Amino acid sequence: MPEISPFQSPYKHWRSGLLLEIVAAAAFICLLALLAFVLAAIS
Amino acid sequence: MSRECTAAVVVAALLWVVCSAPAYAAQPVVVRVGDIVQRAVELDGSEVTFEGEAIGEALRADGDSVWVNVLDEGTAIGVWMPDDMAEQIERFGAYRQTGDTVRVTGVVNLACDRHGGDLDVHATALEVTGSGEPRSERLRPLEALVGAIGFACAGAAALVARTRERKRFEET
Amino acid sequence: MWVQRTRDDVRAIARYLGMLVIGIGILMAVPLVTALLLQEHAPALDYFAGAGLAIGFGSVLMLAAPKRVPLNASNGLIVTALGWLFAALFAAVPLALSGHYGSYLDALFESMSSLTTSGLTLVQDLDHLANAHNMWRHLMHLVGGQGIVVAVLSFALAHGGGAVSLYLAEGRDERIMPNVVNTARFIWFVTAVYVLLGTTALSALNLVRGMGAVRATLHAFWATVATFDTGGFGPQSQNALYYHSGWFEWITTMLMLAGTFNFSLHADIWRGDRRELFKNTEVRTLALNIFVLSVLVSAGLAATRAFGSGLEVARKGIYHVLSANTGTGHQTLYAVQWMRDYGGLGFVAVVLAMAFGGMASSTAGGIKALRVGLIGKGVVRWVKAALAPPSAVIVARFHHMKSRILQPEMLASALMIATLYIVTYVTGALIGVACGYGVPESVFESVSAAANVGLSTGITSPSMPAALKVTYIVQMWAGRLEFIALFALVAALLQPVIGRRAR
Ligand SMILES: [Zn+2]
Repeated sequence: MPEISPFQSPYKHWRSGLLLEIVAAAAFICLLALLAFVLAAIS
Repeated sequence: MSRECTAAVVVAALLWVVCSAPAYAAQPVVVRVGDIVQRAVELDGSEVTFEGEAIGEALRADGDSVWVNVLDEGTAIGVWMPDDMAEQIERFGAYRQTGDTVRVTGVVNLACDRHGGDLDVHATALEVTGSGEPRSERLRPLEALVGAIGFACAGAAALVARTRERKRFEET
Repeated sequence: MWVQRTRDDVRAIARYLGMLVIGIGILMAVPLVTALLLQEHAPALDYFAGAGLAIGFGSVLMLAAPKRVPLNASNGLIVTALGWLFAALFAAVPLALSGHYGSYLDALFESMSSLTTSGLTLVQDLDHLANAHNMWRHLMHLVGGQGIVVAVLSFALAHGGGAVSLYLAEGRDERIMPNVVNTARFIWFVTAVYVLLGTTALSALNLVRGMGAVRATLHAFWATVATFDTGGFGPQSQNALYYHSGWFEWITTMLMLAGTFNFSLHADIWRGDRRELFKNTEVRTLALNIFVLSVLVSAGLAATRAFGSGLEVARKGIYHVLSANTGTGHQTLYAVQWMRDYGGLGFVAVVLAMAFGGMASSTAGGIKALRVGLIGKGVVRWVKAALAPPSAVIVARFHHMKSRILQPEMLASALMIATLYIVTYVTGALIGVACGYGVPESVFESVSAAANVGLSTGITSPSMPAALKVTYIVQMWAGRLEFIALFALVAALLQPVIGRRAR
């Protein structure tokens, strides 16, 4: 499988890349918060 | 007078002092903001009165309530209060001015259930006891001199560098 | 084997240091303009003096060597190590003049903390500090986070050969793009995008909550810079607690996570390689690390019985684990509460989070997830090799932009740097204990300094012993440079002694 070359411009898909990062970060924080909530509830 | 008598008088005096204390105890304890943070565990849920400087601004919270942060000897604490209570405060402390001094009575929360576990105070009464004042700036002319000398040095250095470059250019 | 440094080497080093100091002076134009716009006259004078001093000194230093003098890798390390010290020394001048610091040493502590994106602070009466000074404190987060030497010199040396060695020396060991200038430009682009987004979001929040327009924007910009660059300063003495807002905490934790992303990873994802986000060894390591520590912190906080609901545990616990693990250091608790109210498992988890740190080639500090991941893979490979028949060849693979084989040198370097961090953590803790503080607080504060985090149990205060202030300054400096540049400097200084004996 061809990897993406470091010579390719990182500005090409920056908007969708940024969106992915933001969504992933938000989802991750939600997951952690849910985990903490559940742990606190059962203990 | 015998020693017992003296002792009895001392004890009586002490009793009088101690027993008269409840007259003051009816008023809430006056504390420093630093003490509220330091003694938050024991003060949790109890009503305290403290004085400090209102800083920043009144930050809108949910509904008709705001947060006013009160600073006292380097420690600040968030005080949650209704809108109209905060309206008495005219000046908030910042670089330009000191804020009004406020005397707040409220309930201490070590980990407030309403506000995400913050250490805060929910105000029941607020009184402005002193008004804030403009803070004066102290200009030091020496600083202007230091800066000017620095820039002069930079100018001189740039001149030296340029003549050097020119000399080198002529040599080659 | 010790490189004999000639007089020309020293002159070249002096020239580049001069250039850097001038850069710091020019940067002071930002707080100077802020002061003039907001009519803060005394701070304006502070920055005029500071800029004059820096530009004057730098210009004279630049006379040491002629133009276009080359800078080799070895000298690049020295410039980097000294560059951070000189930058902090000059950046401290206007702060010292502000009257909000107990001494010049306190101001130096502040500028070093700010440039290394640590966030420990010795400022006094912060709530009455001028906007210009706050601008400078936070601007240093931004400049230091991007890599001060590169940030300043990438403009000066657009096509010079020296930039590469400087870039590598600054603890950013990967080249995202074939060319250093393009790399620096991309790093600034990512930063600009996130700073713009964060400032917009937080300005809107601040306006809704009743702040004046100017103040709302300034506060939003500062909070964004402090979190995206994983710094940790705030313009109010209560730090993040000033805002009393779940929204504020939500936006800033997002920025912290974005700030701890490896810039190579940003580049790869922005090139369109979305799967990298899920395959990358460093991302996986960091996610696992944060996940496990979140479990510990939640269990720890829940066990204290201080909180009435799981939501509070989640809000306090996750905020501090993320703040610690990304090396930011914003806190929504009072410093004394760490020891008194939330000691135990939560406390330990936060110390571990600080020690591990975020991703490499980001603005985060600490050992860093890539190294932790590689060491983990190395351990697994070792066990596998021990169990396998002697003829079998066991290799460990990891994914970082592409699938790679874990080479012994990579593992050795990861282990070595991790060890150096741990030695630094322990040394700082020992000095803290020697100064009369308790063991847990000393460990916490030492790790916070060396990993460039900035969470505090309250040891860091203007009244702490000067020896401890110096210790933390050195720790922040060493931690940010990941030791190599600093050791090169020490070796160069000792060279006359060691070099002679070796001969
Ligand atoms: Zn509350």
